[in-house]
Amino acid sequence: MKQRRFRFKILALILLGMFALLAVYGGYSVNTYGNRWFSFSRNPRIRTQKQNVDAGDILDRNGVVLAWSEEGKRYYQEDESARRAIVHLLGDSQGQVSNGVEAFQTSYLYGFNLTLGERLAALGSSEPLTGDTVTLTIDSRLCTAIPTYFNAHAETAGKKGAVVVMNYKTGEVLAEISLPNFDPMNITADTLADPGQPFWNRATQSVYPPGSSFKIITTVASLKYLPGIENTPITCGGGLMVDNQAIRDYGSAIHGELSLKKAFTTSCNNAYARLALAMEDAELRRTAEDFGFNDNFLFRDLVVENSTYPTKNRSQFEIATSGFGQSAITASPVHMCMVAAAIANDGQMMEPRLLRRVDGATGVERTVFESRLYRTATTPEIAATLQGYMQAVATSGTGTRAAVPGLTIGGKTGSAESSLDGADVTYGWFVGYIADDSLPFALSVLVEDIPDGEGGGSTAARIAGDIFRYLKEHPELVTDNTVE
Amino acid sequence: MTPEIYEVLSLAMRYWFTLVGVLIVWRAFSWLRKDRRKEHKRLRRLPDAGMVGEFVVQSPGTDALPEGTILSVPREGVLGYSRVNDIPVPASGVAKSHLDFTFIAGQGLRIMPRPRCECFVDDILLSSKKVARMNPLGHGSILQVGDAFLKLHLFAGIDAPRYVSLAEDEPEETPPEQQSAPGYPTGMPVYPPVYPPMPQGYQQPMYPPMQQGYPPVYQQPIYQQPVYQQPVYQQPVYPPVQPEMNQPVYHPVQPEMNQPVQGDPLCDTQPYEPAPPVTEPEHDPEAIRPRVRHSRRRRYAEDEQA
Amino acid sequence: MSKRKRDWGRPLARAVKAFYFSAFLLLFLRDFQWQGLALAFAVPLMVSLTTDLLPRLFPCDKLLMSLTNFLCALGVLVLYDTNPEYAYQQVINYGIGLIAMVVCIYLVRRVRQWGVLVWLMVPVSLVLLALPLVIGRETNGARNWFYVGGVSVQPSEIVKLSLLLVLSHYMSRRKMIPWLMFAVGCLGLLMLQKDLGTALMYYGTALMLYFAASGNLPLTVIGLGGGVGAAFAGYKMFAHVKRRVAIWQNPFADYDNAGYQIVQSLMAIASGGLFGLGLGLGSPKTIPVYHTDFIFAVICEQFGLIFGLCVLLMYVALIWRGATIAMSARSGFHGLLSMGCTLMLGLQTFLIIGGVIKLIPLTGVTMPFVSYGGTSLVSALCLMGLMQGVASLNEDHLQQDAELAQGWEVDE
Repeated sequence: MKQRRFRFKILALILLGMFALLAVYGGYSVNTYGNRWFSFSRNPRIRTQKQNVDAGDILDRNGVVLAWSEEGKRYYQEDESARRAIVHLLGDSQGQVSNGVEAFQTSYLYGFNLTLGERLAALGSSEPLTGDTVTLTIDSRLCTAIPTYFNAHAETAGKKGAVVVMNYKTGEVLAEISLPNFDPMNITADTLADPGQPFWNRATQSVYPPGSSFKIITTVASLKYLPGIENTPITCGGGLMVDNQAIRDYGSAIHGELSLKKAFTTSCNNAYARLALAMEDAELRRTAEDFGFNDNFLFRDLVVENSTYPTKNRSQFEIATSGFGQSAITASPVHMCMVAAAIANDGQMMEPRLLRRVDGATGVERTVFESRLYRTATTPEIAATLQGYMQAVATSGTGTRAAVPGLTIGGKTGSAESSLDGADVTYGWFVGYIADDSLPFALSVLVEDIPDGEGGGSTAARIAGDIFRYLKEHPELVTDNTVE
Repeated sequence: MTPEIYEVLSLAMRYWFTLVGVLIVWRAFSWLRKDRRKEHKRLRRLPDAGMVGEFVVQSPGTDALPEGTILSVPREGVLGYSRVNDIPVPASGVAKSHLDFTFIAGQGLRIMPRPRCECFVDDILLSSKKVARMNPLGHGSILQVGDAFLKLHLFAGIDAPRYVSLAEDEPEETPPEQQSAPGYPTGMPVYPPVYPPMPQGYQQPMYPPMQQGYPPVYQQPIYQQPVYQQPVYQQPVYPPVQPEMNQPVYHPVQPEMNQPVQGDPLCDTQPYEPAPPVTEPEHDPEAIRPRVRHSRRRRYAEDEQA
Repeated sequence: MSKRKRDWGRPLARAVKAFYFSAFLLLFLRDFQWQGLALAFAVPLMVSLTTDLLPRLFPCDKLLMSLTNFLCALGVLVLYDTNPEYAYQQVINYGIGLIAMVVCIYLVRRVRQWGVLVWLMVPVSLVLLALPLVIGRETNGARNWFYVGGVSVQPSEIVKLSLLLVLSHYMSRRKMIPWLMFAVGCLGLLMLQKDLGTALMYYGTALMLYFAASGNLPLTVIGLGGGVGAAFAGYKMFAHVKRRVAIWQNPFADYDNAGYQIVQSLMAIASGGLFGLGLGLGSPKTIPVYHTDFIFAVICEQFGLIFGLCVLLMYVALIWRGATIAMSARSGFHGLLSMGCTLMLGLQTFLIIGGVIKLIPLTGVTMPFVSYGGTSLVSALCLMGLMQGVASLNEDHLQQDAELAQGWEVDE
């Protein structure tokens, strides 16, 4: 029967379509998640491989050896403070830190990528196989210095926090610090039992409410969806009532009539609440999603916790508070650094990279990694406007403590209120960048639990200023991707 | 062999395995492709493959369905107005899918009208399945759907009612040995079947005849003889006039049509011969066989000439 | 011109033989067991026999034979690599399966009146399906097999065949009630046994076959909706279904207990990379149920993703061939029968590979031809036998057509 034959053909095509789906999905998921599945700590193949292969070396961008193996034992840098500073980035040999370089790059470090020729050669020699040498993008001296900056200021000494420094033109991560840290060569029972959770990588794995640093995104949204907002005065009356709850500024300040730029530089919550209410929640959310919120981060070199902008159950109060980064918005320090980097880079958000190159143990080049654009967050015009605003923050706004003479700094401070274990806690943020093509660096600093009376501008911004000063003194940190 | 050497060997071999795997897949698909082409070629050469016969349109003679159009009849299928059917009949009064038909070996073409559809088989109204079962179409039967009158011609070699199993459970598939595959017309299907004129005084032998192959059980209430007006055909000479185009009248396919197929002892000097068994189609080496494709056209043309 | 006339059967068989000879030889070199060497010669010999000798003795479709050969031998290879005991058993199963396949071919060719047979099959199948509930054992939360004299039998695999026959018979007669009741009965029994994967297979095949036979799109869509609704209801009602869906969404959350299977499978596939870790290397045994459900993960680990894709394409070729056979079948019954076999095989393969790569939740069906398992392999080969029976009938018909047309002059 003609029709039955035709239906057979249709059914066969449906089946073939299902199989095509299988093939495509298989290919896609192994391509995207393959490394994560492989590097999962429970993978028995890694364990067996570790018995036969010495892990390769890990170097920083200047060639400083951060980790090496000798007779099956893993050694880290001599200087303890240096070791501690990058322990979260590097990971430790016990696997206490999840997704550090040691764990995440096992396929390189443990020789899964050796060529046949190398294996044949290794057969002959009596030495054990060595894995590849991985060169990272970080600068170990900067990493070592950053915890000292924390302790240099009274307001931030001994506090927990995280710092991320990125090159906003290439996406290279120059530093990724998480405090508290520990000594990878000296893990004791105390370390394991430490309630401060030293193993936790706060830069990538923790998400915090961004607080006023989110105003960058609200400003972008206003410029996009509220035409003429630059010239429209916004009133700050002190205590805005939304849903029978009051929105107050820091110190209950009343700012009166503000322009958008002034609202930004003074970080006026009331003004931003009004802005958020003037827009639709969907518009602000869309802008946030342009900047990477609600996205599933699948970076090649890093495992970063997803940032969220809430999508459900939005009352007016929540919408209003979203304007200044409260309500249920969360972001990781890495992501906020990417946000600042996007503004600095005229709206292009680059994917954060940790690896510069991988070479074989004998020195043969294996891979040189390239920069990748992650997304286009906003238009160059809006980015330029934001750049102006952020630079104003550093010169005359809340972020003056981050300023460094001789550099044009742009930034945004933030003080985020949250609650931890029932108690109120305030997080201090500073995200910023250097507006100089020869020093294209962006950073984000997070300080947990800042004391009352302080804000991001007095805590995180100081540390940022120290970092900017270091960067100014080390212009050689900028090199392009194709190396040597 | 030490594990290290084996490891290196195995690592080297994996490229070989992948290569052979891809090669095997490649060859398998080439085979599939080749088979498909072979299939197409076959079907092109044997376009009537799978067909049991054809309907010739007697009327209405519209533009959409002119008189004399030939509609191939597959083994089973659907007849209806739209083109997607196996037998498209674009005539008024015909539903989009009007009826299902199935060829039952030993009975003929069984019609199963769809709900609320009616048709006539040799002037018998079929509207329910039960009636339909009793009235299959044979060679020469006329099926009337809507305005269209379609006359069925079964191909040579088709096992139309020759013997009937009265079992409720009819075979849905005739054994290949017994059933001659849908054959190609071994010549002009003689239609309407030619009956030797009845000379006066000649008494028809009692039916069922004693020829072999005609089991006495055969009933033939279905085909009403009156349909075929014998006087129309001047066939004074026996065997029939149709020249070389024609296979002998002793068409094995329409035995039920064949009243005495054998020669008329009064008209003809030929001895009384039983019709040959149906199993193989008659191949008269002398007759010109038309090519399959155009044969139908030729048949009609010759017919006109005759 | 000559390329078009090339017979692909021989090159394909040669490639298959070369593959298995080299593979078993390599395994032999690993641990120097004589069985490895024996298999290195025996398996290619078997391939020759089935592709050359068998078609001479019985009517069968050469392409299907070659493909099933490759897949069955692949199963034996992987089993020998991981656990040789299973490999020997599988070879025996394969022998039994071949005999069963030939029986099925003849069944299709010879049997004229399917009505009586089918009518008998309905109660017998239902009883068979009900047996595990009575005398069966529970594994992995499903009670779908039982012991008969030391051999484990999975009746759902046997009933698969009778389901196809019943469905094709009644659907070709347009008698909806008998097959509908039978299908519902089978599904109900399977649900009771908590063998949800097989139930899904039965349901999908019956639905698609109904669509093919009747073309009644509205009813098919209703049937589909009913199935989806039942799936939802099952999700809400059964706790273990909820667990399976949760594991499917995020297996790494519970990687030590519930998600262990799929996590190990994913790690294995990812470790394989494009070309695999190498035959005989890697740690295939760390994957749970590596010999039945997750055998595809083992293949991907050892041979790589490209080879896994090739295996997938093999099944695609089988489906294509099955559909071609169904389309050239002369009678409704045979067309539906062969299409049903194709659909069943295709659905089963989709379910298991989808589960292994985390496209869909795990369903507990095995991979046809490749998985270890007596009833599984024999029933898959029987399906092949049914398809080949229909193919041989098609061949016969075409032969007769060609014979009749022989001697006809071309009149141009």
